[in-house]
Amino acid sequence: MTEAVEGRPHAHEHINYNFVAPDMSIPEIYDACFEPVGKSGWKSNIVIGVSLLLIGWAFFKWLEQNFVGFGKTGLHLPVFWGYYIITFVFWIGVAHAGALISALLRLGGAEWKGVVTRVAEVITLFTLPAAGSFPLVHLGRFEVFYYMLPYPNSRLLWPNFKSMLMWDVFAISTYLTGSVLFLYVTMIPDLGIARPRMKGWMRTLYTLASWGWRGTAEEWKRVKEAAALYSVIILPVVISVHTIVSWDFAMEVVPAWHSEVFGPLFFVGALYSGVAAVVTMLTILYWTYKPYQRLITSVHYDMLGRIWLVLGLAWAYLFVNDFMPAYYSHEPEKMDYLWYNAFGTYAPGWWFLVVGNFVCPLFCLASKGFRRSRLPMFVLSIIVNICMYLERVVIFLPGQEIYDHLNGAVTHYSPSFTEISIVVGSFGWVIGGLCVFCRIFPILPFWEVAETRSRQIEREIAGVKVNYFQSGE
Amino acid sequence: MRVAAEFEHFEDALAAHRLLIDENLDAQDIEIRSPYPLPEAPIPPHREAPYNMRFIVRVMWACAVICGWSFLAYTQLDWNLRTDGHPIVSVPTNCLIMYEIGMITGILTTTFLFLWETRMFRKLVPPLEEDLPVANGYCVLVIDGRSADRAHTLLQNRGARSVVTYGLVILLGLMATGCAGNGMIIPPGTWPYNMREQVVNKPGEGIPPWTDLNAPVGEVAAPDTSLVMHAHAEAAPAPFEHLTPGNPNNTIADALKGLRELDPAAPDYQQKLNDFRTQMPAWLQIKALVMSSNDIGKPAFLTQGKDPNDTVDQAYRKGLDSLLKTQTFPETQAPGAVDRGKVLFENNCAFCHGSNGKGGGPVGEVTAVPPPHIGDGNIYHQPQYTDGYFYLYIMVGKNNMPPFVDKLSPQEIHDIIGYLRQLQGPR
Repeated sequence: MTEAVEGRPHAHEHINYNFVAPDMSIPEIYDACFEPVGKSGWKSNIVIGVSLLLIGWAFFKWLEQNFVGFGKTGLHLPVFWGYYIITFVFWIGVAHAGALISALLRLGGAEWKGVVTRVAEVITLFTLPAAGSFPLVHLGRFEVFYYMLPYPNSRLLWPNFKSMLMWDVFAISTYLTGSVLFLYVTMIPDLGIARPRMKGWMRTLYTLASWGWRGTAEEWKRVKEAAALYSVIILPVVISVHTIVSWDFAMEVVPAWHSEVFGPLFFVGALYSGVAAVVTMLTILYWTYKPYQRLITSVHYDMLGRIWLVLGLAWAYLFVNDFMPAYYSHEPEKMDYLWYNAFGTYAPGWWFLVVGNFVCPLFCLASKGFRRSRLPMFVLSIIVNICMYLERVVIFLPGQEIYDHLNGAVTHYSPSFTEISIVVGSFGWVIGGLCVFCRIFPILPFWEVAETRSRQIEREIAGVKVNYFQSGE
Repeated sequence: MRVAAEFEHFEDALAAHRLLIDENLDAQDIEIRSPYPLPEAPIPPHREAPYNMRFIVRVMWACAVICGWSFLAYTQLDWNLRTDGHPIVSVPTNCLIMYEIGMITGILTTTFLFLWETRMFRKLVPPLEEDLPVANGYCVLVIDGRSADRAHTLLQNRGARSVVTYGLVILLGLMATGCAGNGMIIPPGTWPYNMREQVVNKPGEGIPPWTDLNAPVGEVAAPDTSLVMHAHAEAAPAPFEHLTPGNPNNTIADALKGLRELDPAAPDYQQKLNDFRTQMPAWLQIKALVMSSNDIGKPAFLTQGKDPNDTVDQAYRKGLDSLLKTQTFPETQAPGAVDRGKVLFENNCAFCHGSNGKGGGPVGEVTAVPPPHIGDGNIYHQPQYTDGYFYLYIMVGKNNMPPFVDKLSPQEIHDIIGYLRQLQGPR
């Protein structure tokens, strides 16, 4: 779309990249958004079937671990936090996509948010339970979970608030409640609108879940107010959740983890991987469902790419900052940890992380052409998520392995088959869950896309030109 | 009484809304519905409800923070190890937990208030029929209460239609509680696309009353000889005490009542049934059958009277056969039939079949099985689609199509067929 912009030199050469909603009527948008709902196909059946197998196998291995004992894992002193905790942090990180992207875009009034918000929230919906289950798996004896519930126990103390695990419980349960309700309340209009067209049990589901939504002006006022309130409340919760998760480590006795930037580093890293997950999901949706191809435009990739680039730069700064003060102050523990990472057992992963998580995105995402290309963005999103998993590995494991290094002991740890099974099972849960969700509920929010479209029609009629991202161009 | 007017573009809906406000209609009677949020500022006054969401959420948040702090302080002071009066957990950590308690309270309060405040001005499960326009991407103005009559007049040229909702609300309540599933009240397959409860607009009548089972059938009972199976109907004795052959004051309810009171065990059961079928005009029979076909009083001959030796059944089937084989009714070519048929078609058929009979009607677009393109001459000029075919299925309905036998007189059906033939073009 090329338009002349008044008051600018070379106005005729200037390309206006403002977001333009697809030229579709409201019923067409409805049809596109609800295309996969209520349908099944052999591809998704296979995905769901494989996911169920993975979940079943993981469940079996988890039961086995409970009966046989924690020796089924590869954990041993001093490496007591292994792949369970790594995967926990990884999923928490991916889950941060939902609330942050959705809340920020809503509060900022971004026009292009329509396609992205629910995708992000649904990713949270499935990754957060996956994350929350890992501390329980890591308990070994999961039945002692009740120690975290407030009740007077033999120590005459209610839950032990000195424990970082306790803070996790508060933060994750708040975040899970908030993000589920955020997703649900903003989905009520779609459920109500689609209710008359649904068949069978899905009509019952939609009828009950939509609470008699009729789309009156008063209802719209309240749903938008509720979305704004959720956004305002959830943004600080997002920050608190991952900061608390980082304190799980920073406040531990392991010297390599004693870092004051862990809070922001984890938080920014989480958002970084979260945006990558949204890009992955959007691209898969684009390729899977043909009607979505009119809704998911390159502008969405461009805008997500900008957020991604900023987060990547922030992450890189904080990652370097983790070592820089230690380097200047010659802190031996931290420097040993850095050398062990960069030139020890974990060197290949560490350098891959540096390249894949910092160098690649920096140069790729700086280019508008790259940000607007679908396949490269998809590949980059996969690379970044692999790298973010690696980041957790190289932060957590080496620090513990060299815990006894002053005694000349470096204890290696590798995950057992049980651990790998349960970790892979969590991937099955997330992928299968997303697949099932797409078949039952509209993953692209009809009303938000329609709202954007109707606003643009309104502006076209009124002849008013609104430039949304003009200042950045 | 409730009037719903639907508009494709929300600007038109807002303009109509403004018109109603300018005409001094009560704003509390007007509701504007849309498939996406309308811009806040230009919406004219409409039905409103108290709006305290933001204030209450703030207050609850503050209360939760205070309570969270007290809770933590209590649990720590309650710990009877010696701490020399210091808290065992540092103040920032306490703040963290207090903060999460405040946040989760804010989230739950927001959810609760959203459901509570929206619940105040809507029924829990609205009739599906009302949602159809919104689902189609239309904006709808709904006016009820005392303003409805006036609004209907004002909006008549803007696409208004009247919708009666209360019966469906009850049915939906039964559906939601599982009392009306499995065809107990609504036959399977007809839900939710049945327009049976929909008021049908007839030309010149404005908004007709709710279909009344006790309204007299009227003069149309006498003519229509093509469907009367026995010419001597008037002479025969009455099969039921409620029903007099040839009497124009007979009602559908009378016929139904008579059918229900038939006792299969009684010795004269067969005789009475035969009398009913031989003496009543066929259209009244069909009307009664249709009205009772979903009912416990369903007559036995519909389900079991398939005996080929039964002469009455043969007669009945012959009647239907001759109806189906009637290529052309002379009434369809009567002067003015096409014009009247056009209006009737627009009011009764176009919702599903589209105004040109080739699909695109607002209701037909959302049905699972699209309604046939009855205006398409390429299909409906085939010999099996006789005038009688259309006559029969307009009367008794087909698939998702409701029966119109209780809504249209035979003459009106003839008019519609005449208009249909014009839509289909010359043979």
